[in-house]
Amino acid sequence: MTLPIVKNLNYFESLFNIVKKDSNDVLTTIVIKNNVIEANKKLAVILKIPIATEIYELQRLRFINNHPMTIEHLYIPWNYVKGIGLLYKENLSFHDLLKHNFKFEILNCNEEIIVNKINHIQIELLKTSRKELPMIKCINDYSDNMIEYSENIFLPELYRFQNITG
Amino acid sequence: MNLLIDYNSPMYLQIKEIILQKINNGEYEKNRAIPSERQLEKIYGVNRMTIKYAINSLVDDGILYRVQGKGTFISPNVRDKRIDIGNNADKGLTSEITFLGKQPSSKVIRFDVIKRNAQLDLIFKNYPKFSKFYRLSRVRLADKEPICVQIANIPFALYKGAERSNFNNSSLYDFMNKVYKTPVQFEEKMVVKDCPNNIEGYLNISNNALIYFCEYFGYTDENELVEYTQSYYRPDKIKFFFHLYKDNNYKN
Repeated sequence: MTLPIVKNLNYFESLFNIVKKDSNDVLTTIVIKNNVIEANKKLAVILKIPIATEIYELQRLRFINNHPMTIEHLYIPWNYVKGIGLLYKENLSFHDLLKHNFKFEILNCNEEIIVNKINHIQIELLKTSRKELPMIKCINDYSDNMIEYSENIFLPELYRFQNITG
Repeated sequence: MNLLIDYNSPMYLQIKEIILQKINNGEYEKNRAIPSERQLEKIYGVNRMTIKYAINSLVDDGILYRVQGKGTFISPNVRDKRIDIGNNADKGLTSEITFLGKQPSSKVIRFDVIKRNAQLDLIFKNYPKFSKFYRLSRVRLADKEPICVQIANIPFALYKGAERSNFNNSSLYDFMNKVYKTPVQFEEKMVVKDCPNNIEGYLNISNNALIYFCEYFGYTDENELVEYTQSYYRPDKIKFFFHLYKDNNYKN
């Protein structure tokens, strides 16, 4: 494997595009959840919608060269993306789908890297013996005031982060 | 929820840590009640005294408060006490610690003059004249709690006389500025990894804990590399928050 993948912290780039552009690694995906659910209080606050508003939920287990590497869990208010559950395919970039089929352009993104305890399901899916893993919490702002929130747990060997300041 | 038991850490501290994570994640909100002791006992499968210890500790820290007959609530004054070193935080570690109302301090672990080794040879490959380096290893603290271990390497030839400074109570950058120049632009690389055995003790963290490992390459205003630093950060004390733009909007 050619991991870690370099994730630049100066601008937004999806895992799909990083892998496609920078390496010979193969990204594959299994969809775990592809649902419409009601926003709980936490999600309602983040997505700036009333509690119990319908939201689209997509949870994916992603593999690099057949090794499970990350669990991505994203939420978008459903009224912006009606029908997306049927359009999304595992070999597609979700952000390209938003751009081309729904005309949503990502404007900016706030990401936070944290280390969190993980549960037994996450341990099994990622085939790890670790009790805690890093997570990227991400709030993406799109055109038309649409907000996407995601929590991406990943094995530490997946990413190397890079940033230039000054 | 199934609690993942870490036998190296007291159970009440693990419960405390979980509650703190839920506050930081926004799952538990200010002025809202957390689950009752009975509910927490069921959720985590630990005895009531353990739950009480964890909650008492959070009450003592000012993070929770009790209302007689109603429950235990998140304090309205609770705020994220982690030190931000993401791209919104350009003030430096000492200033960020001070900004949170904490007292910054440093403790020198080692201070040596070292010969150019294979690692430094690679990093300073465009600067063959730098044959020796000062290597300063310090624990950085906030309110006497360890935040990170930093190992800074600066060229001996540019910063002669560093051994006369006491970096327990003076700033490395103040010294660099006085003698030559400070770096004004940084390239930063970060990975999340297991804490090396020789660093754990200084950070007061358990075996196999994950840490943020950062490498900083510091350049002067004339694009001269004058600093290479390795930092090992405790994730419970540090916040990496980044505001990102679309690639085509990015301007460095």
